[in-house]
Amino acid sequence: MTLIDKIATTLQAGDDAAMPALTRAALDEGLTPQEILDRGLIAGMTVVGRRFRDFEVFLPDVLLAARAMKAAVDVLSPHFIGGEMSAAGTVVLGTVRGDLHDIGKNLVGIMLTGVGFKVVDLGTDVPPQAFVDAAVEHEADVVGMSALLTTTAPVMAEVVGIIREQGLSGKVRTIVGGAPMSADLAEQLGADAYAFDAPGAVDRVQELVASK
Amino acid sequence: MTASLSATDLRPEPRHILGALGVPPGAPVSDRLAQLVDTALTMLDSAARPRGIIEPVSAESFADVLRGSGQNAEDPVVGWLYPRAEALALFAATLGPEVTSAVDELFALGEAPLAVSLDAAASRMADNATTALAATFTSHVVGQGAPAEDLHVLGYSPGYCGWHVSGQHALFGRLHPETIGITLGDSALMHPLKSVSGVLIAGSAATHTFETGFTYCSSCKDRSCVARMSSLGPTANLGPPAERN
Repeated sequence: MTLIDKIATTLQAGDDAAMPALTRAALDEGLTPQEILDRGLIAGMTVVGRRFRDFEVFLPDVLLAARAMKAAVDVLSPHFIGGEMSAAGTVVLGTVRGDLHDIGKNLVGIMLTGVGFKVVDLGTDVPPQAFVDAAVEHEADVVGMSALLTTTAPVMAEVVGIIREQGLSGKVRTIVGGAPMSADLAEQLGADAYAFDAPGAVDRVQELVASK
Repeated sequence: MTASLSATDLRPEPRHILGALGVPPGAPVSDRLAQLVDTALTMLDSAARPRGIIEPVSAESFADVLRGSGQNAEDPVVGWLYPRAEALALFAATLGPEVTSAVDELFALGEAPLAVSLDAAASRMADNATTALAATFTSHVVGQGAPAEDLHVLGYSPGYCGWHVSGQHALFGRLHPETIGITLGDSALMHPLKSVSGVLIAGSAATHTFETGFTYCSSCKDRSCVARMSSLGPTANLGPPAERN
């Protein structure tokens, strides 16, 4: 097994303790940070994502793999020019005003980071305008909103409305998720996409960014 | 009346936590995942401070609570069930704020796998709190002379099965869970997050049985009602939608 394959399989096993040494060894062997990222880490996460969709592994396994990826990325980051990897896109995330549930939103953030997105997490109880302000400030591709209550889901429509009013439609896409949400409700609220779960959110965000 | 609850008694089983994490029954579990669940349970043991409250209510009083601010679906399930109940009680329980703080701290430390496992464990413990309060109410109802045979007490909560979550306001107005540390926000969100509330319905298995043919059932992602009804055994009463047709 090559070192790059070992990195990918160790990531899949969620062995975060082993990742720094393997990553340093790969750098010492002359592999570029981008090669390690693409052929080792992202390749490994892609397998984990596929196995999750096929019910071969489960949510905690995905999170363990994401943590292992972060352990490797922490070693890799200083070796990129300027100390920063190029992001697959920028996503502003938050739980909408009136709601404090953040587990699902956190999972989406972790998984998006795992596949190379820059994530700006605004936390919970986020006012509508704050989503849009952050999207403008960070030149975000996507705004992701989470809600766990039927009473707070309408706040998402406010965010969509502000994006439209500020002429950002098409430039900033929106995705929604959470217990009371559905594809139909997302459409009614004017969102560009809906995801049932965190891995689904990653897929939808990738599609939204690719379609821009 | 406040109810005595202990974290030890409410401790969820690992298999239930795994289920909450999406792991199907019987699926192989890695050592790493099993260790996560064990650690989450240990943390829950020290962080959970469960407290509960129950208040028996008449059907007439509950009708007012259920009506709430008038945002329910046309046919909330509980609206069909409570008139045929042996007895009713409002309930609330909380694990206290420490569990949510522990979950938040784990996320901040980058320990998402453990954070999610602890959150799942806490959710199951909150469910167990409802079950424990139901057992307390069962004893109360039997003590009042209700027949113990085929008596089942189950909890139903605002936010599910057509009972709009805004119904929490009417429920809190009657039960006052503030006395055990639960407060309600404008959006009907309970603080601490790991809290449960609703109505306990005491009745036969048939009392709790209904067809899942309500308009909102088609968009339901939960469907745990089916397993819950099945656990009561075979019953003759197959619910409101059929009765209406």
